[in-house]
Amino acid sequence: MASQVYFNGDWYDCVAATSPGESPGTNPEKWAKVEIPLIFQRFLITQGGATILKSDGARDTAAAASVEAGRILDEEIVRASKIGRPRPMRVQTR
Amino acid sequence: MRLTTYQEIEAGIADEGCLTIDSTTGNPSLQADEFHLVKRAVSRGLALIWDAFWWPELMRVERRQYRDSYDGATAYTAGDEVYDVQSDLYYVALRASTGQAPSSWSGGEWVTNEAYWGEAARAYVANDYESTTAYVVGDQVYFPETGLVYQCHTASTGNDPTDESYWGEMVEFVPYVSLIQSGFTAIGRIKGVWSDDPRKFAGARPIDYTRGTDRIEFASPVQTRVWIEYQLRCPALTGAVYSSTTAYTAVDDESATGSTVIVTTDLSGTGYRGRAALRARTEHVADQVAYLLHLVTSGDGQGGWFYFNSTSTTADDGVDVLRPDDVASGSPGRWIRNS
Repeated sequence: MASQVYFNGDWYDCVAATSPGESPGTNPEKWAKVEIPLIFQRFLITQGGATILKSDGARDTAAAASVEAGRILDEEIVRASKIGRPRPMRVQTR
Repeated sequence: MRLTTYQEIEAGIADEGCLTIDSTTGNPSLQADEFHLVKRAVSRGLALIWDAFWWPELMRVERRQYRDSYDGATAYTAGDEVYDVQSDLYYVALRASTGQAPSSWSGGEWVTNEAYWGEAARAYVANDYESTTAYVVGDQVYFPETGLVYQCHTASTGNDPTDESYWGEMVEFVPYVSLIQSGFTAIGRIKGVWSDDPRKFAGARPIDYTRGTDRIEFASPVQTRVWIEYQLRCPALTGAVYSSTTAYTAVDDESATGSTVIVTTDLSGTGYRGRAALRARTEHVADQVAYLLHLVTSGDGQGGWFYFNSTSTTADDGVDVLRPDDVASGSPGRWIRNS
């Protein structure tokens, strides 16, 4: 049976075989929550909405939402660029 | 890493006016097909943003080795390759053994346990085998009939190197790091491979590599372990609502056995227009694939590849799982979206 489930508002991957009734709530050791970074939230809401609008036939509104999602993405990239990977320290010695 | 919840995202989409709101609870009120539509929409969005940048929260820098470490409890067979932590070398098993460590400390150095292991190398050079020579444990020979090098694990005279009772093949060692290694996080996109931890050492050198389907390969001589800077893998949302009557299995996406996919859809332009058309297809063989141009209406963006699972009895959800019209609801056989 499928190894990923939706449970109480989140998605979980099965990491160890379960018996019926062994949910992410009762047996958390058998499940791993699918982690969604908080920084992606705004983009996922806007882009997700655009996808749904498109499937409903609201193409113009969907297109506008996609553009907004792109703007959000660019904004987050700029913000993340300022963090980057820790750089090695250069130790000054006499 | 700060996290959000899928429920928050779903609520946000509802607040945007894209979903129906339950007037009593204020929460999104989704039908089964809407649930899967939202799932796919979020999954697609996740894939888009995940790969758009080297997000610091998703990056890892780890030292990796080319093979699993030797384990005294593992039953090894001829040809197995291991990394020996204590000697910082790689070894090839010459014959079956358990509990025979590849090396031991003696006389101020690590000495190979040559009765069971050979020190691995990219290539080997040895004199030709001679049937009249009395070989001792550790001797290596080249056997022209096979073009391979062998190491003697049991003293022998007159026994061809292909005789496994006396010889073990010295497998040419290919240094690679599997993207999935036991006990380690699965490697996603690779940003770089380094001689040292680039976060700590300004002099860390970049190491050339080739990305294979399931591993990272190194053509030039490299050190015994390397530092890999990579991004975590993007999760895909493919499941269904939890059922308390179902027993679930853990599936390793890399180890799942596959089968040959037979493409029967004419790739020159006969995809299925809508789920009804695919359901109406009467030809469905295990692992066949079919392309859906759209789910319901043209341009709805919900098309994609489906494969036929001949054993599935999962309920038809109208989005990711479609039951052929000629298959009874309780009978096996479903078209499953291939993400």
